[in-house]
Amino acid sequence: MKENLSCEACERELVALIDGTLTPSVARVIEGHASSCASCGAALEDFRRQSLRLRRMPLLAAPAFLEDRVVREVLGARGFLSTGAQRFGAALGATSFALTIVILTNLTRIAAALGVPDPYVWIVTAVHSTTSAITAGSKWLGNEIAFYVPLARQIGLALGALRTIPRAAIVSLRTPEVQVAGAILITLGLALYILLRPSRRHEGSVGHVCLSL
Amino acid sequence: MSEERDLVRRCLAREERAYRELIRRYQTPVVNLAWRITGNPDDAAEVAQETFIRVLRSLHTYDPERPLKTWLFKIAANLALDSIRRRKRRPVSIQDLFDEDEGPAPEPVEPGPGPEAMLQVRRSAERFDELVQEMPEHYQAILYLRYREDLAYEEIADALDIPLGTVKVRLHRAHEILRRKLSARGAQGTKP
Repeated sequence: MKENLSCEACERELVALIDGTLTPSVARVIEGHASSCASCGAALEDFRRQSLRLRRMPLLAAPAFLEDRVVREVLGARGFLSTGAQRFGAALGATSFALTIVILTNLTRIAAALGVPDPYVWIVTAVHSTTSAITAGSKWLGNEIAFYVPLARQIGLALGALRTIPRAAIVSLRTPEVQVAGAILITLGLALYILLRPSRRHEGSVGHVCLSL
Repeated sequence: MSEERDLVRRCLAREERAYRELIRRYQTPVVNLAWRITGNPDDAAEVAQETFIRVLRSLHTYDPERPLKTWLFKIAANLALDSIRRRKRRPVSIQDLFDEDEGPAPEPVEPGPGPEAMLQVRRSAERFDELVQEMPEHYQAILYLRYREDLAYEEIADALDIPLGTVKVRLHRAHEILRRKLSARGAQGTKP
């Protein structure tokens, strides 16, 4: 290798020489050839420059969502609980399951001990109570409707009657009797106001006293 | 390494804080490897998400003797390859990449603090990265792992599930391709 090293063989080792992966003896041979051969020397320089530039190749920033997404995916919905809490939850679940089984298998005995009716009667009682409640509720609702609907209808009619008042007033004002009476009332009102209106000159008069009250 | 083992142990105990720490520590390398393979930021984000989900769910199968990062890269690379098999590759705008660049700003090749010089440096870096992005995904992935993540050849072989010799050959070829393209561009640039 020392004596017959071709340029092709030398060039193949140049990158390894730059990266420092050659044994010292081989590295010496390659360096020796590169220093005496213009072509291999130029290639060595080019590769060195390229290595330096490659060490500065641009980096892509990791997306901000990555961390949260991975953690959520790996830990799952309940994974955010601590390990201790997860174990406690699992133990609690298992205990409650076992307890439920025990209660169900000994339900008759428990009921007898507590002095409550037989558990098999509970279902019939529950169905009966439910149907009774539904029936009572429906009856109450029916009665309420029967009472309030006519009342509402009467209020509606009364409110409808109120709408006739302005119409009746207009009709009655058209009659001569009402027009005469209205004119008399207006005249009397004006006369009273003039007679009784308060003034400094009539201070202490009846009108002044009345209006000041 | 012991810190990494402790992190893995806490993750195995389903500690949410440990999950978040692991994701924060490795999300940028995983997203970037996926991006280099898929060539698309959206696909890369999807691949990274799937990678972390798989890693956290199958952490009990992880061999603590191996570096965690390599294991992550292996899963990410496989998922990214699956992704490009499913979807045809789309090109990315170079401007988008620089807008989201987290890495250090490119150092100027020639001294000169003026805005024109800086612009020239930036354009040169953009052109260089365009060339990298034009390369096939297996070259890009290998270049990223070697030069950005500073992985040893053995680690790259492990992460990409390829023989050590292939890593060496691909790195050499990637450099050759880049050199050829750069010299072609240089020749074009000198034309009036």
